[in-house]
Amino acid sequence: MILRSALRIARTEFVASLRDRMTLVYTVLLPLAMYPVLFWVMIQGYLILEGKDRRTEVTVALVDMPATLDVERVSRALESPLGLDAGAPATDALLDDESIELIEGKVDVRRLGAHELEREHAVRDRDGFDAVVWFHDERPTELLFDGARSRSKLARDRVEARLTEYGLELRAVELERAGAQLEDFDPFALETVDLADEKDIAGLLFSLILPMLFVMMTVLGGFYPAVDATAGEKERKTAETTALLPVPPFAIVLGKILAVVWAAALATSLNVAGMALAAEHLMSGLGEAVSLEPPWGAMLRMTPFALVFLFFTACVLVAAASMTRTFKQGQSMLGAVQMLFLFPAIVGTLPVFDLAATNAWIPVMQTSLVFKALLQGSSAPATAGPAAFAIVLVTGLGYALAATWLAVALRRREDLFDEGFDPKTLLSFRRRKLPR
Amino acid sequence: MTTPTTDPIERLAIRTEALKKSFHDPERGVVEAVRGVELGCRYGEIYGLLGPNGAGKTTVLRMLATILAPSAGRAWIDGVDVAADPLEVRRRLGFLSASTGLYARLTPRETLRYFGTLHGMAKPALEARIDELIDAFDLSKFVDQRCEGLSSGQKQRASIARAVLHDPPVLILDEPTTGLDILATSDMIEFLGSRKSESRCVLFSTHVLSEAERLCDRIGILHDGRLFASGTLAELRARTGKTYLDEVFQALIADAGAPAA
Repeated sequence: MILRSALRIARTEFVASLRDRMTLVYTVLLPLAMYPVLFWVMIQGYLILEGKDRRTEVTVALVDMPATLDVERVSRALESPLGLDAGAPATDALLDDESIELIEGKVDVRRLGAHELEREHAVRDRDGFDAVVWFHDERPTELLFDGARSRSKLARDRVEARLTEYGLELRAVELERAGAQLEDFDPFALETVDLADEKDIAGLLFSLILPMLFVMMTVLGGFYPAVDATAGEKERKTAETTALLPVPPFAIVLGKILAVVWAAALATSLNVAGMALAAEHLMSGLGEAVSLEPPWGAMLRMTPFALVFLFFTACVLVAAASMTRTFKQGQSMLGAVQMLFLFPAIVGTLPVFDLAATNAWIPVMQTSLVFKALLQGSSAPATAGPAAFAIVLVTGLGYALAATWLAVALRRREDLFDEGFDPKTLLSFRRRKLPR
Repeated sequence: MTTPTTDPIERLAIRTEALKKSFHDPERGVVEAVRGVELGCRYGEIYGLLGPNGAGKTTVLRMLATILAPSAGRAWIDGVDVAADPLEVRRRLGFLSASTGLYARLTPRETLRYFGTLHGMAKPALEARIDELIDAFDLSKFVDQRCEGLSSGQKQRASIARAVLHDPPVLILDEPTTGLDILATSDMIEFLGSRKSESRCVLFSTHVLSEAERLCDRIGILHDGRLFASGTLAELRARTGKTYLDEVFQALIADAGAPAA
């Protein structure tokens, strides 16, 4: 009977809250659009910056270049995106090889004598050179640049990359003439091989963001419905109307909590779906080899923990917001509560913390840790055994029940029902209770 | 659930016995808002509760409606103790005040369905009752519009429909005509008369003496948390020697002022 009444109240509260513009924005629109928009902005920003870098022409001076080097070939290597002599026959074929990273961007090369340039000001003058390669007889060649100028740093990157490649090419040619290979002189030339499959990589990537995202979206999704169902009700003068319902206060509070649970679950589901779609689209757009398909199996195993956390969060939000009288007060109160949730959630996602029996009881952090362990799957640490999972579930349920009790107790306080939070009286046990 | 008693006194529609309510105010300490009110209202009677601002009228009505818990004393609605079985009291009571607003984002029809379902009304009976109330209170033009867009008069009509949806034997209204225009007030007065003719008990508080004079079978004067006069208008006139209700009211308030001072 109580559950049926609570479900009826929850349905009405949920429908009413979804008719509120702010709730709709924070529960549906923002979670769904957040990642596609964020990723789109990131891609556009990246493309704009990269495009700008590629279009930027830098001027580089070669000072006191020894006669043993062919200035024409060095210049061509600096101008080539491969850092190779563009005149060499193999270069065209290499340019077509997609696995080789190209260092795009034009470099204008000038050759100077040491007397033509003052070393200290060689690159500090904005109208002068962006980088200077200064050759010395007795000591290593210097690459001078201005670390305070992005254009100069760009010139440094291009020169460094291209001259390194060109140096390797020269060595390879000389060794080939002598009948040897470059690799023969480098026993530690490594080719890295990643044995992790796509699923493991996706699990790791999701374990870095999903736990915190889940906590954040649960709080964000439940934020407005919780304020709306408590402080908003007082502000709109419908709290008394609700109190006249022929159902116990427990059913009313449970109904409100369930409405907040549904809103938070909706926000979280939409957010995860939005993120998965955006990530998939991003990866396919960038032509990445790794597929970012969400680890559905792990997510299914996360469900009981997620439900407990959703319920706990909704109880805390409803209890906290019920201490306030106006929507504005409710927002301020839950703003502080939101921080109390985010901090342990962030700590839980840090690589130094793994799920273990010793930390599995810490509220909120336990959710981050258990999600991380489940998403990492077989890569999860050994401490994340059945005992740790059981502790998370049992203590999580305990916290949820305690928070429900608190929400009901606060609802039944006359002073909070009528007015709102008064720090002087909040902890007083002399408050008269409302009829059951 | 409390079984209604067959005792003739307790079969009053509304009865209170030494009803008291005190609040804790952080600055003023304990404030006694209601000090031992004894009240009895019969079925088929309209009882008006009159008193100046701060007399304790709303507090008495809210205790009867189970919104506040009495600090001491007892009260019964349709024979059910408000402290012992508030849920049953809510099933037998219709309550309306300035603080019992309509849910802004629901329509009047949705509000009626919501309350009807929680009152345990079966769906066919509930829909028939809603249709009946739409006709009775002329809600048809706005019954499917969200309440936030309704006029004060439309909201008041929808609120009354909400209060009488489950056809309660007792109706308690706190200043029901405040903020209403002449036509809406007239409709309200007509509605209260109809409840009386259906043998329902109506208890309402008001500042408008002409309303009380026109409608009430009996009147109670509440001042400083005490009910110190109760009776028919004729009885109150006889007690004060005054003709008009405003004169009667002022004379009784003046009498009450002396001991209170």
